[in-house]
Amino acid sequence: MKPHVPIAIYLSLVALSLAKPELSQTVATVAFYMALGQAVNIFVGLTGYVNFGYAAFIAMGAYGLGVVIAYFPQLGTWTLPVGLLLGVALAGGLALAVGAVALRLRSAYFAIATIGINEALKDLIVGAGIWGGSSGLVLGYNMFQEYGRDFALFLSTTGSTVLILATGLMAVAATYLLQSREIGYALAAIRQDEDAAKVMGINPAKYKLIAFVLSSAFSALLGSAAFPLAATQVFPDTVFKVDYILDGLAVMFLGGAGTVTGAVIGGLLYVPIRLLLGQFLPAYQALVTPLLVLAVVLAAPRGIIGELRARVSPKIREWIP
Amino acid sequence: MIDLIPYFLNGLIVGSIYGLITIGLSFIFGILKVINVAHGSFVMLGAYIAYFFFVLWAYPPLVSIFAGLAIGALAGFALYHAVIRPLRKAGEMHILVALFALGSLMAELARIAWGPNVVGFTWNIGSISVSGYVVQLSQLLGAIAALIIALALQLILYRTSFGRAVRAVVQDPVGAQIVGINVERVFAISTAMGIALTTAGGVLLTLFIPVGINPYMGDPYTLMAFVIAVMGGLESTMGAYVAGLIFGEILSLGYPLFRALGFAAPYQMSLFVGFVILVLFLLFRPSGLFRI
Repeated sequence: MKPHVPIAIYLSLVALSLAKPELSQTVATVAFYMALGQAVNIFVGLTGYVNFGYAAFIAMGAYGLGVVIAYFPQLGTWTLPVGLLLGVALAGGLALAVGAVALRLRSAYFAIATIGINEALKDLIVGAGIWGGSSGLVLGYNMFQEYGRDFALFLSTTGSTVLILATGLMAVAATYLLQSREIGYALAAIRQDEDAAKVMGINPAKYKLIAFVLSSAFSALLGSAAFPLAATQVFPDTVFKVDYILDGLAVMFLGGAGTVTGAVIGGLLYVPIRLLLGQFLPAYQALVTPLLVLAVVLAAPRGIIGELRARVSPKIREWIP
Repeated sequence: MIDLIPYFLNGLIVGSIYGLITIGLSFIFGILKVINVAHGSFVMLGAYIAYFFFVLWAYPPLVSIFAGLAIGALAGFALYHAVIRPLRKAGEMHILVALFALGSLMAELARIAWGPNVVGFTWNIGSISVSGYVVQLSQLLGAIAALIIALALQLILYRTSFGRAVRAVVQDPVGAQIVGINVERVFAISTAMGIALTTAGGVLLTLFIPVGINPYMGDPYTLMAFVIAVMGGLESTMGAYVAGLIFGEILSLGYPLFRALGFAAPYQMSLFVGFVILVLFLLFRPSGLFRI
């Protein structure tokens, strides 16, 4: 298995966004969905469990960085690394807590628990009025104070794009490493038959938890990049949007669940598909994602890369892991 | 000191509706082992059925509940044959994802067809007074209707040959097939019945949300139904109904409590507590309140 193709695609996008800052916005949009699909793939694709709570983990990343920028201005430029770490820690901690409880049980219970995380955390933030409550966090002024005008503007354009691309790249590397090491075989065994895996001496809860926490941490980094950094604001209604879950699933299934290259190809196709259909049928744009997911799941459950891998010679298959 | 009795009465009445909404979810899970993550969208469908029957033809929800059952049953048949049956072999992940996409699709279709605005109606037939505490008659009748439907389902399950076939399939699908039960047919009819109960619950729900019908209203009810279903044991229909009553009390009594404690949005806090209850149940008692 050689992950050269996805890495080359990511690196050329990094080069593109640095060389042509005016394209940074477009690259960021495409890369966000590529990376989100990859993050979803690390857990859903590799374990076969479904996490409906991705928006909550994106929101944890957004709030982690947002809260540090809003409430700790004395940290100056340090708010960026501290905030990113806090976001990852919040999302990872949440995944650890929910996963430790729900990953022991049947997958139906896990799906139930994750579908609740999203609504519940939004209810907590709005209901208890924490972190700005329903009025959210507006960060523009603080960011100018902490980073200086020029650096703040750089961060919210090229900076956030590079962070999204770096997250995607790390997620590709993580998918590749997870698949090619011992844990990859364990996850494959769990995916095919959890009870049999248990008999073979594999501890399913442990491996599922590792994948779940990793996948959540990558989603959090995307949340940090897209909301506090790029949009300079964090509102509960935008960060807890259920749409992101379906977006991530669409990208992953389109490209191919459980593959390394799938989410990259899925993301590259998904954004243009949505844009094109949105141009021709603007009133029906919202139907595109759910219809796409339904169509792919029903007609080609293995996705583009999965179907390709089943058809090409082993030599080429090496190149599209 | 706040007088909690009106909140208690309200919790009991609205809890009956929550129970009915959840029964459909538990019924389908109990028989097909499929978690209907599109649940909330079928509640939304029921609410719109009630709205249009009331606004267009002035039929009150107690009448349009029959339309809710019929349309829900048709939708359930379609759901089984279009999504669940083709994906049974592909695995649970694919069914869950497809159902989730379907729920989102239904909400977006509803927005295109019926507009994004919040709509509603009030069916006022007066109120009765129970030792000084006023109860809306329409809501009381709705709660009783929900109870009757829940009991009727028990009768079907335990007093008819179809119910016996269903219980046999739940125990052992292969064994049921061997003794000549058409398992496919049981699955299809069960899905239809489960969805019918859900839309009927959505119809009756409109009695409690005078201005709250919109395409995206379903999501909180999906979560609510999951909490209640896990409390009730996830596979037990009567357990789901009783847990619905308890959850109605939690939401209803939680409201004055969180308001007295000074929370910005007490209703949202009660819903959050609902999720905490879900996690606690998953942690300590995944089999639910009642052993079955």
